[in-house]
Amino acid sequence: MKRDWPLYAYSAAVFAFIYLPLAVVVLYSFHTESIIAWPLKLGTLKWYGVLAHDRGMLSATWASLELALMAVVIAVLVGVPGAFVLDRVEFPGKAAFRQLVLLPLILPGIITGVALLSYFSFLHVSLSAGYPAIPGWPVVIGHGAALTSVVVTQVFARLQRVDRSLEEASADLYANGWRTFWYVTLPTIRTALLGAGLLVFTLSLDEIAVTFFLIGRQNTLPLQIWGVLRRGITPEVNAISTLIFAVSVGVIVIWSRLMED
Amino acid sequence: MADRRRPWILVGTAIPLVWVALTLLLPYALLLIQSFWHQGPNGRPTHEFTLANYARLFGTSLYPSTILYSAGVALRVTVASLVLSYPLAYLLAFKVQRHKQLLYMAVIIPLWVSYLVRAYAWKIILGQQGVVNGVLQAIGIVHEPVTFFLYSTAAVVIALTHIYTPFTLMPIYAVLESIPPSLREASQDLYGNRWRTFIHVTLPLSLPGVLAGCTFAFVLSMGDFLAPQLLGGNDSALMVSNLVWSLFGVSSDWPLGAAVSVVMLTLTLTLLWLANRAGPAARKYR
Amino acid sequence: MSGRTELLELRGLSRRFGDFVALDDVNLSVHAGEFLTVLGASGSGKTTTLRLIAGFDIPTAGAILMDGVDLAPLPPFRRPVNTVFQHYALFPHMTVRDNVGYGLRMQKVAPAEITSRVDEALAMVRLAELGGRMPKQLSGGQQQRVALARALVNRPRVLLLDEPLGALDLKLRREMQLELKQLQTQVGITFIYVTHDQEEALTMSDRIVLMRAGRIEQVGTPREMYDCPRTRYVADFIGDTNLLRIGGNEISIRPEHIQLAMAGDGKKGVIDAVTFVGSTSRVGVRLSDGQTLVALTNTPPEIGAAIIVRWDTSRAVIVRE
Repeated sequence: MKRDWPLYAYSAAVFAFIYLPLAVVVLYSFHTESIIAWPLKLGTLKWYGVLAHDRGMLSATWASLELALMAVVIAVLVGVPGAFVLDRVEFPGKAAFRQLVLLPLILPGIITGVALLSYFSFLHVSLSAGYPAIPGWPVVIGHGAALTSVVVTQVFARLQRVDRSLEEASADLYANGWRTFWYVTLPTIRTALLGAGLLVFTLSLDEIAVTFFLIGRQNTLPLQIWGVLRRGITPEVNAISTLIFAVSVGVIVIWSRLMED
Repeated sequence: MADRRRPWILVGTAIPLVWVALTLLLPYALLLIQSFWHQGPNGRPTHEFTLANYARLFGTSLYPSTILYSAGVALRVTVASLVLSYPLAYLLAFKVQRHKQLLYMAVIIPLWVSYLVRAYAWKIILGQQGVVNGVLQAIGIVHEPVTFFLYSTAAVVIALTHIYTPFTLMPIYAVLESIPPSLREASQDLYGNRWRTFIHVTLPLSLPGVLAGCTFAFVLSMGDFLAPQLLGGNDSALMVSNLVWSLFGVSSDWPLGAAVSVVMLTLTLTLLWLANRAGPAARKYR
Repeated sequence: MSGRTELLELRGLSRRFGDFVALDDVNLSVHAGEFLTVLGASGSGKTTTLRLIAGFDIPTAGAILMDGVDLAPLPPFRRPVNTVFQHYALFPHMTVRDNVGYGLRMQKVAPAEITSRVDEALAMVRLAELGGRMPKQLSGGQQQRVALARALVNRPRVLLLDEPLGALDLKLRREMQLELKQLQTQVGITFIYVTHDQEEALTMSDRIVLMRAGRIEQVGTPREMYDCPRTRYVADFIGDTNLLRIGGNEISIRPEHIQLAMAGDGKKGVIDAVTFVGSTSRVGVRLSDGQTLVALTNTPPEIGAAIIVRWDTSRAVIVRE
């Protein structure tokens, strides 16, 4: 519609605003100079090479992945029962429980981080407990605590939309409680569960506030990058950022396919 | 039927409840309690009840002024995000047919990219040797690098707006999408032109989404600590979370940090509660 | 027709939800092999009754007896009863075959037998070629038949049907009514059919149970319910009727039993309205004592014309409140 061109132009500008910084980072990852300055000179992959040999980055990436995986496991094991409990069980204090579960999602991460730090310190639990097998129990529990809420809310929202008559039909057809859950309820929430798991994984990888306060000796990837940033920008950071961007795009494509359900 | 499963239901209910109690309820409660403690000489908090932290908090100008400053930043970010996201949401909801899903995804993708990457990108753009300065010099508008872009409140606001605009857009888009087309058609059938239809029909019905989006943007940017650290400079643009950060870090006064956290927590919860109350009023049109 | 052996007995069945009484002391005997319709308006308790028999709800009082055993404490998956749901409740993530075979799988029937029985059931509802489809690929009528096959394949003692034809359009509904009736006769399973549509009940049932506000208003064959309604509610609910006060009694007389004449014995009245309904015309008459009635005729008089109405007193029924 011709008369809407101001709207289109404005929207295009907003789009550009949203993508410009990312484009800059990606482009500068191929910048030939080692100082990140204007003008941009494209033409090299050497920063990716530097990245591949950066021990610190590599071990931080590994730690991040490990942590994220454990966060997903905890979040699913606690979050799925949590969602069912919210959907189907009445108990005293349910409203409080519901609010409490939402807190880590709506509060600034730093509050959850310092709360957990004080907690573990009070309990005299060392931040390095469990190192080097895992990045440390406190940080694992911290991620689990903060991210369980994601699974609870996503699965709960899906459960609310489940057609109860399907479960009645299953019972009518000789399936007991467990089999109804396994054959009928679970497949129905499967995509919400996978989506939530993916979301937890991504959020855990990017988590900074809680991680900073609870990490022991090992750095996670965001903390490692941040450490580099505080000392001054190196082009290597552009390379790792570009990789993160590429992976994120892949993740969201997968996630949106799941959410089409 | 329920009786056979009862023990399992109890276990299944207990797991999340116990977990949340142990890993969320107790830590937050401890934070509250700790705000009433005193930082002892040996660096560990002493467990005696005192209101000194709160006295300091409200008495020293640093803390209230930082909170106000943070609120100011958050307000600017919220307004900017709203101004940017509403038209785009409107376009996606009403003017795009074919690639709607794809475009919406395109807007959401940046949300999934590391927050750190997105904040850091602005360092490259706004820095003394950054893109903006480079372009301005190339065009000839300025002859030497402008320093005030980076390490300023403006930089923080810009970066936070960039980060939270998709957050604001999502609920607005969702609400706009859910307005039945027949309502807008009815308005036009009754002699309302496009603008009137927007003002009298679309806009009021979209208010719940606007409220949700603005609440997200405000609460999230007020509690932000990374953007101010990277882009704000060390003295001029510190926000509340940076204070908490240093109190639990270098300045090492955990009880005071806990007190500031409690204040922030209270503010956040109050804002959300207010938004919740305003919700039904915004929704009364539906 | 149905044998007179009792298959299922509802004894003193009651269900309360807090202050609200959904069912109040319902007593009913269901005969083996019959097509029984539970008829009523919304809130009459008909759906509650069905859900109690199926096991999705537990009675507050009373018993549901089959072969002398009270089913009430048993969960649905332990009752030899299957349900066809109002909105079909087909499992969206399973094919038609998997849906139909679900109950057999849960009963651990051998795979070979499952396959043959599913084939048989699909053939019975004429959906043999659609076994591999997903529910969302089927039309409403087809989905309904899958739901039917899924229930029947288990050879239940009683089949419960919860307003299964409600979502279909009129013509399809009429076809399905006929099919369901034929199927029931063929298969010989006891059907308990819930509906609010009295015409449907009259068409399909061996017996009708009319419910109102949680109680049974009357039980009888369609002919009994139509010709001999016991109360005003029954007379009014089933078919069209005229309710007149004559000589201290309230009587019900069906429009088709009223004769219109220009002269002779009978009550005097004036034609009030004429409505052409295709096969006949409905004529509204205002009697000299002020009451109104409706009669049917193929030769309707003009509006405003004076008329005499009479009827065969054997057709008039005295009804209680």
